[in-house]
Amino acid sequence: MKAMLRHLRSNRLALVGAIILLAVVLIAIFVPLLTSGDPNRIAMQLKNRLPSFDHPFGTDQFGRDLFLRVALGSRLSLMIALAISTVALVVGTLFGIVAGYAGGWVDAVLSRIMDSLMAFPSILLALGIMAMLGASTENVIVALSLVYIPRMARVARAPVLAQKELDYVDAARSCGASHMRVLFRHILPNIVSSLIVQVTVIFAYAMVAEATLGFLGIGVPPPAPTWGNLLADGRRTLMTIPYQTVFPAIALGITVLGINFFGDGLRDLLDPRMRGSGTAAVE
Amino acid sequence: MTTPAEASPLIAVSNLKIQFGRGGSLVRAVDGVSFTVARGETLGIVGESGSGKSVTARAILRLVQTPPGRYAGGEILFEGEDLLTKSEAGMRAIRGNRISMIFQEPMTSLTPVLTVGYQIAESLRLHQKLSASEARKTAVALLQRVRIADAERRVDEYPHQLSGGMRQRAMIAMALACRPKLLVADEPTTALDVTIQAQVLALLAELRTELGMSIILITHNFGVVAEVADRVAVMYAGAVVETAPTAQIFRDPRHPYTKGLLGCIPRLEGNARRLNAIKGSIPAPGGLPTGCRFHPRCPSAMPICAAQDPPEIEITPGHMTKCWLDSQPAAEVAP
Repeated sequence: MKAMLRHLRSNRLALVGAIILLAVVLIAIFVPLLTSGDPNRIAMQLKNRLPSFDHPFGTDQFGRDLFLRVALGSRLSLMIALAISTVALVVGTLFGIVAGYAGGWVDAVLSRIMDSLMAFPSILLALGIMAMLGASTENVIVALSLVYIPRMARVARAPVLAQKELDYVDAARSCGASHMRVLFRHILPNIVSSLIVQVTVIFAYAMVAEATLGFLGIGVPPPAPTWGNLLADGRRTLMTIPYQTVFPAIALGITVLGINFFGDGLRDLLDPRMRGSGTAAVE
Repeated sequence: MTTPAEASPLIAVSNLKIQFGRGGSLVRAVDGVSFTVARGETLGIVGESGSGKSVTARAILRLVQTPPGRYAGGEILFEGEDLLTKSEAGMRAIRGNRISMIFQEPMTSLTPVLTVGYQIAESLRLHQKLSASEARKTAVALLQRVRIADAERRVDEYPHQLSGGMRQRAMIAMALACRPKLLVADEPTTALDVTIQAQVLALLAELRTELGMSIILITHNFGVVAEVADRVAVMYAGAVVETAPTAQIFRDPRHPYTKGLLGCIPRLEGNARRLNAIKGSIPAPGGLPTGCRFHPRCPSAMPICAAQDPPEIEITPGHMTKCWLDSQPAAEVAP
């Protein structure tokens, strides 16, 4: 009963998370399509307007419509986070499962590389890479992918260590399957739930990290309205015109919250013990 | 009784040695195992947990992971080829095709996320390059062959939807898909209910006759051996201590260890008696005793047993044992 209640609650959270995400994605896709305004057009005569019917979120210090900028920002921020988490998922998973399955010196080498990347605090590492590569959208993706690849790899490696000891690995090998086939056809599908959960976590982190880089002024170069850049712009007027910071901050907060809700629910949903029961067999 | 194994063995394992670790932590899991299996013959390998029988079984398919394991010597001649010197690709062509294996634990020996049909068809697709639909058809036929009811539906189900007995049958279907010459069965019935055990053993015996294959049956259960094996090899601490035709080993066990194992089986007929447990436990493979490896637990141990490993001698044709009691006719049999 208790488990059922928990399940229901977490599923409801997952539902809320999914609705939030869907709304953000729809806004990201449609608002820039349906409005004609240019989010980067400077109109000094309109600067620092309070929220109104014409400008639901008001305007910034250059008279740019904040609602448009936040909406377009969601598109940029989501796409950057998506790119980062995709790279981290593919590369990190590959490194992690190969390290876990091969063991021995392959594991030692790959794991030490991952460990040394993880030894730096993530923002410091991203800052360093950005300083080396220079500020651009592509470099933000490269830098943050490097930050999150080892975090993905670690999560992928651990369950492979456990799975490879199970009899089904020997059974598949005894049928003539190669190591590659065993790893990708038999083991990988067994660990996919941990991977999905981790990638949603990374997605949320990547959004925050991207905003952090933008806020520090070394992310996607302005005037591109990523949420990080909007926060950075708003910082100058934080004490006098706080809503210029508040709206992008709320957008970022709600989106990250939605991703986390969704990720939590997904974890419960994908947990095999929670999975729907099949028809019990009777011999 | 003569052993057909002498004529032209399908597989001949000689002096096989498998070790784990090195230096002070060296573990001789398999230490000079030799046996042969003739075509169409069933050899039962009996031994306690830790006697090295499962490692031997996996070694035949070269499935012992290296490292941590190491093939330290001997050879495994299968149809004249030494499996220990074959390339990995060469072994892949043999595994599932000419030699198959079934495992003890039907709960964990099928991949949970793939359908039963896919897993049965996998070796067919690997070795015979069947298309997906042909392979599925064959999988259904195989499931019917191992008497799984409603095979047409079961073929698309996942392992967790099958009972333990059905899973073990599916494992058998998987192993026999390519009609192998040799089936290595590692404790195939240990995890099953007694009634299901009997069914699975009967099925194995039937399929052996039908396919003309040989079986190496690894077990700790003499009852299973009595039911299906033609010959028995008794393993103790990484070596074979006695080999004989099945009837012979029950009638005239020679090695004290074999006697001890048989003495552990409760009997229904006759007067009730205490079961004779073998005192002590199997030595850790890292710390094998000198001389005969059984002497610290042997009720008939003599001074020579601690000093020297006994040679293998033939009692009657096909009945081999390694024990000083039989090697030194002069020595009195201690009570």
